[in-house]
Amino acid sequence: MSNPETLILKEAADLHRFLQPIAKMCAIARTDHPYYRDASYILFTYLSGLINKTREYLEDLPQRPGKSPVIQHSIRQKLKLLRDSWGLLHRYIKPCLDADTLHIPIPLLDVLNDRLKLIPECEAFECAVFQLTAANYAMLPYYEVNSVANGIARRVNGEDFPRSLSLVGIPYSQSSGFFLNCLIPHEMAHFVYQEIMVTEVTNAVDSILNTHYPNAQDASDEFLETLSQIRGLINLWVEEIFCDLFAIALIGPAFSFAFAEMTSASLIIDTLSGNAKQSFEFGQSHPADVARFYLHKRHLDALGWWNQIKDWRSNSVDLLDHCCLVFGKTTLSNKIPPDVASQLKLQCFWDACDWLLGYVKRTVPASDKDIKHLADHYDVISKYLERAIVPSTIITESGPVYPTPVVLINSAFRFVLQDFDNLLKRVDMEPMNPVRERSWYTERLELWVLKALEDYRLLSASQEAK
Amino acid sequence: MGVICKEEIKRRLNFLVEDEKQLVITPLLVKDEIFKTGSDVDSIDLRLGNNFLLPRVPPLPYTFPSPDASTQSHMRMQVPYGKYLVLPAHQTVLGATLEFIKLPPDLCGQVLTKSSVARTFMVVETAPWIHPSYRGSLTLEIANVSNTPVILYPGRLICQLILMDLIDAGPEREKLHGTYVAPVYPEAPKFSDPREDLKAIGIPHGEFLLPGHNNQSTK
Repeated sequence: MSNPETLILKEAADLHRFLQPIAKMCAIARTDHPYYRDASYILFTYLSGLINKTREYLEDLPQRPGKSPVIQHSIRQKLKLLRDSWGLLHRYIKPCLDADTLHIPIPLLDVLNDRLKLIPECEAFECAVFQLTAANYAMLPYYEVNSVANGIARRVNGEDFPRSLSLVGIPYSQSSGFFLNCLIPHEMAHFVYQEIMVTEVTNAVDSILNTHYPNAQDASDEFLETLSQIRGLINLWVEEIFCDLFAIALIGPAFSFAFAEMTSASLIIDTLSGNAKQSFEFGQSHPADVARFYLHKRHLDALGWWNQIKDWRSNSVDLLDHCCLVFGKTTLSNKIPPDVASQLKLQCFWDACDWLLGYVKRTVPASDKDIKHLADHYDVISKYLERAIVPSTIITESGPVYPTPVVLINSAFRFVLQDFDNLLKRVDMEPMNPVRERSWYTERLELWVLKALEDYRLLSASQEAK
Repeated sequence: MGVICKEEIKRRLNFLVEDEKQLVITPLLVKDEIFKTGSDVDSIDLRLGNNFLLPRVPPLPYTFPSPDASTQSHMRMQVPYGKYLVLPAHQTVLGATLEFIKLPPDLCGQVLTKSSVARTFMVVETAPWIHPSYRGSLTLEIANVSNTPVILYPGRLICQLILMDLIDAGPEREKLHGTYVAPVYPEAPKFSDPREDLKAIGIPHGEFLLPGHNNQSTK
């Protein structure tokens, strides 16, 4: 059996060796093709620094062991913890490296980041993207990366994870997409919530719970435990609603439409489908889809969007309207423990949402101008799109106009939801399967819109330079 | 046929989209500079976009113009504005103009290497003709024919667009058509099956010689 000093030496060297290729990958990503967004460079630079600190720590270890078996054992435990922590980070490094500028919707991310930075507390926020194998969107919660990295940093005398950096995952296949990627602002909102808003929101939820469970202090331990679970559930649901409302405040109804596509929510309207039972259920982490759409509509109304979109000839708009009629039919999923379900008053959730609607409206700058511009210019923008022209400069009766990102994003949705046939009617090519044709031109439309978003930023930058 | 002057270009850029004589060039960055007095009256300078297709070493020792060529012949690359691409000596790359163009039915055009760029022995266009009613960013077949590597910065001026009017142009062809519908990035070449092309002119499949099959026709 090897002596403890040799074991420590070997285990330190093993971890050192384990980190070597990761260091190389991060270093290459910072200096060579492909390119990344600034947020990714912040991440790679941070990881490189943390790897260097870890390696210095490991290189220093053989001088430390001494002869005490207790100290030697403790060092080996620390080595194991370090290795485990790096194993956790390892899961996300390759997905981040894969998300270079060719594999993420750069123009959309850039305009979303610009919008986010308009909020005073979010000026420093950066969003690095990684690729998810799941066909879903997600923001990595604090404990997945930040706290793991901070744990390593404390051990090796490194720096804490950058506070203003979030990691958002998008499906690896959707790099060039536009419509579905309008779900990204919801994930960005999780970061805003967790970094800035969580205390204020949870305090509000607590005070609502106190109103609904007034004698909780005198209740049994058993009930207090249940109440704690209820609080946990409602906080999770409220966070999701916060992120939905925040995303709508950021980009308008486009978020609701993207969400409807992702969840195939139009089935809610279809009575033959048994009203899509799952969409009515509050689950263990997410509120019922019907409740979400109902709140989307209320928020859109409060922000001034609803008047603008209510007459769109689209199933997605009807869906929002329909959910306002049926939101009262929501139930709890049977996956929620029975004791929690029996005591949970859904009214707490609705009251928290009432408060949240006002809170988000106060927090995110209004889009009144965008709403007006969409009303004024959609007809012209749609004429550009149906002629397969990138609408970054449109000519109106009063001269050239450069539509803003929010106007472009929502125009694209309106066009694909109600006016897409106008584009297809103009196509003079060999007959194609209608699904294939629609899919092909949807991809084209996405490219034109992303190009228009990129052009908007270039036009703004060149104006500023002047 | 005559070359359209800048005043006419400026006038047409301000037509409404329903007007079939509308010309689109977007985004026109530093627009005042483009139309200022004293600038060239017969052309508009265009910028290099930030997407490229780098030629790949083909799996076979030659490029075979078939439907597979579009997926096998190039590798896409994006170079953010402010960064650069090095084009080695005697190498080529497909790029595109930053500007998206839509020509009216009575105008055709030609894209030429900007003279200052040409003097570095860069050629940016080998299929320079732009048909009436074309829409899309213009694909640039960029070749560095010099003996030194050249650095390309997306966003810099690289070529010039010259527009000409068509005699008896006829009504606008309202329908979207063509192999490349309104591209915004350079797109790899799309070829049909050469056997089918030749069959259309009376050469049977049996007489078609596949490269690498010495005198063995594919039946």
